[in-house]
Amino acid sequence: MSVEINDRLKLRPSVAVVSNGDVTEFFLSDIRKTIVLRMQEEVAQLLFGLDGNKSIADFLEVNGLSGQTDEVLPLLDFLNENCVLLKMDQDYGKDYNRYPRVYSLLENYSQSQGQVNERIKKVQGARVMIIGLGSVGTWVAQSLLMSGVKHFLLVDADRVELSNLHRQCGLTEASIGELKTEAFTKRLLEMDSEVQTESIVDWLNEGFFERHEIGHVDLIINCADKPTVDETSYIVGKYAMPHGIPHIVGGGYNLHQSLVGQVVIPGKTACLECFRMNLDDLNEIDTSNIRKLENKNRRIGSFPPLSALSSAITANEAFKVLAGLDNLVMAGQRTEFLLRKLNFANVEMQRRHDCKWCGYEGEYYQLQRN
Amino acid sequence: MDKPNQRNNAIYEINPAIDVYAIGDDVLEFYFINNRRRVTLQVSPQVIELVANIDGKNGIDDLCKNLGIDDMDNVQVFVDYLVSQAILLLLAEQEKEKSMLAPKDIERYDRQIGYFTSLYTQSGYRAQLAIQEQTVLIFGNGAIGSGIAMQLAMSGVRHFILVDKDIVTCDSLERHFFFRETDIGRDKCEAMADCLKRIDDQVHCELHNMIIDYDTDVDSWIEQSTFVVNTLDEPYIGLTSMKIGRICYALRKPLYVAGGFDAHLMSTGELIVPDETPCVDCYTSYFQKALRNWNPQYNTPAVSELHQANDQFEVGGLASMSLFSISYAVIIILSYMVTGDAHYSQGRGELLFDQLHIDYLNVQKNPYCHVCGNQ
Repeated sequence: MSVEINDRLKLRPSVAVVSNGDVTEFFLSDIRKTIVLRMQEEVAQLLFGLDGNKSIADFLEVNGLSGQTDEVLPLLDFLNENCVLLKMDQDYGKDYNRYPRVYSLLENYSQSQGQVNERIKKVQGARVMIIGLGSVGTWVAQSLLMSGVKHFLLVDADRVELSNLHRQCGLTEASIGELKTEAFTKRLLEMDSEVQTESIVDWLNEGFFERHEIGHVDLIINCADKPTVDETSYIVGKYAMPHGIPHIVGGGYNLHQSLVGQVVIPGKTACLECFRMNLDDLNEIDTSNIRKLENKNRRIGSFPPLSALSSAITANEAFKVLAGLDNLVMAGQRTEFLLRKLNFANVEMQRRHDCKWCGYEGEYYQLQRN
Repeated sequence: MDKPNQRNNAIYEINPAIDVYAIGDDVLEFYFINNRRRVTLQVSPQVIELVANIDGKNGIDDLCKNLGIDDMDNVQVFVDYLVSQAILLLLAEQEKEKSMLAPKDIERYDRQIGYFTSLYTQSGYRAQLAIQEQTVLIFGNGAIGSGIAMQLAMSGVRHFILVDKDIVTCDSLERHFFFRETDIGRDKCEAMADCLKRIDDQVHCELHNMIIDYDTDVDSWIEQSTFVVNTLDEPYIGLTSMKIGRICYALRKPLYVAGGFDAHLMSTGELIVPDETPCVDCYTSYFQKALRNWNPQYNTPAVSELHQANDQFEVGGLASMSLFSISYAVIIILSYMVTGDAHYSQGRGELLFDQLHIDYLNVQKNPYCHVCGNQ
């Protein structure tokens, strides 16, 4: 049992408590998770006395329950385990003033304020590499900054054009002609002057990681789609796997605007090569009699809010990786937002023992075991 | 139907956002890259050659002559069908449509125009124009309202009426995509209008720094606008939507009731179009029934001082969660502006942080509704 008699507990104010007869429902309203217990309304009412200021011992005494400590403690422990009750072991620092909602969200996955502090520290200490400042990279970077990320390594070789402005956030008419990395760095600093960014003005292609000193990064998000996102992701994977760096394949790119790519935690979840092998199995069709006719006028469209929606999912996942949450939805999964159905079509992919990268005889198998 | 310009050696181009495949020697498949629609046709080998030669330069009669095709009536039927499916575009028509937009706007929205061209049977230029001609009234400049305004301005909306009473604070950082540290202390509406102006110098905003309560007269704002968005969650989104929704119904204005507010962080919100979709009161009576036995109690005395100023119960959330609700809303709003079709939308749904599937409530029109019902 992790709850002790001298701990101070708080019934978290975002938890809705609903009693009907002898059944009480605890509804974690932020994440819409419900815990239902057989519990009398009178007992549930007592929990409102857990204000975070007094110890469990005092709480029991006030309610005349000191004699029943052994019966009450396991209940409190269960509710703490399920994030209904929060242990007030530490205060929140001054950053609580700027990110109150981020702190509160993390309480849904933590047992104590100390643990929330730990997670915030991880997010703020992390250095995130974002490759490609296009219609996905800009939204992802800005979202992460707004949730507390303070260190970025930005990669893009392009300059801002008029035709970028309808789908790339943070860029303005005044920034046309500037390097994207410069214009976007200015935007990040406007939002948070404490942010530290470094930039690499180059294309992600073969030899990129030999040409540049990357330094320590906690997460790489690939939003580069030239020539294709498969090719760029492979280059990222080959660097990230032996270094044990989590990496995410962004979506929203050319041809697959509605796609959201997978999260790879090296050695734990299906890697890019597992995905490729699985997809090859799925797509094994005879293409010998198919001929692609040339569309002389071919020009792919872009629907800005669709890229932004894809970015939202990627940024959610990135935050989970950085904060150390275990509720990833894109590990071993890629998804597509179907505009016609207005819903996600998820494709799950298992890790493969025969994977050339992370399988038993794979190139990077031993590396991750050490 | 007499279409003289089509019969007279008209020039066509293949929709730029389509890939064309010949399968074997008698099947043509058109694949819409953006929405993945497929049109598959069984044709003769000659037709495959004809389609392969359409280049936006040579007239259809000339192409046929070169290929030795002489059944021009059937060619015309086939071509008309492809035009109706937005697979082929008539060049002369395209040039005419193109002239509706300023050259600078064509450059600026090039990719978006391409997207609309590929999706709808009308031209992308006309779709873009429809967006640029909107006046959007947005109630509430919070995480969702300001985000929707930004994305709409990015896509070409140039007239906004913004209503909000708040000022920018230091914790706006975690919620508002328009935030700048130097904006702290300013009226949200003004900071927002500046942000929209930086995106597009042609944006014009009418600002109302005020609280909306039961007596506030909002009719004239709604009358001026072509689309209304409500994100006011004080005192409660259902309540403000009821007031705004009834006026929108009377004035026949489309309304989007946004999601993403407290306790519904990644909800989709819903499009409300008079008589086409359930109205706000239909939603209200649905929730009254659904939540009949739901009497939640919150530990409000334990709310920290900081949160007391913002919300009542220490709401948690991330900017990226708001970004989902914002982007979803803008997908529906732009689609409606361009097509006028409300049936595409699905009504209220919800995405969870721990799960990637939107659950839709499937709220129906209430036949007994005292606003939109039959009686």
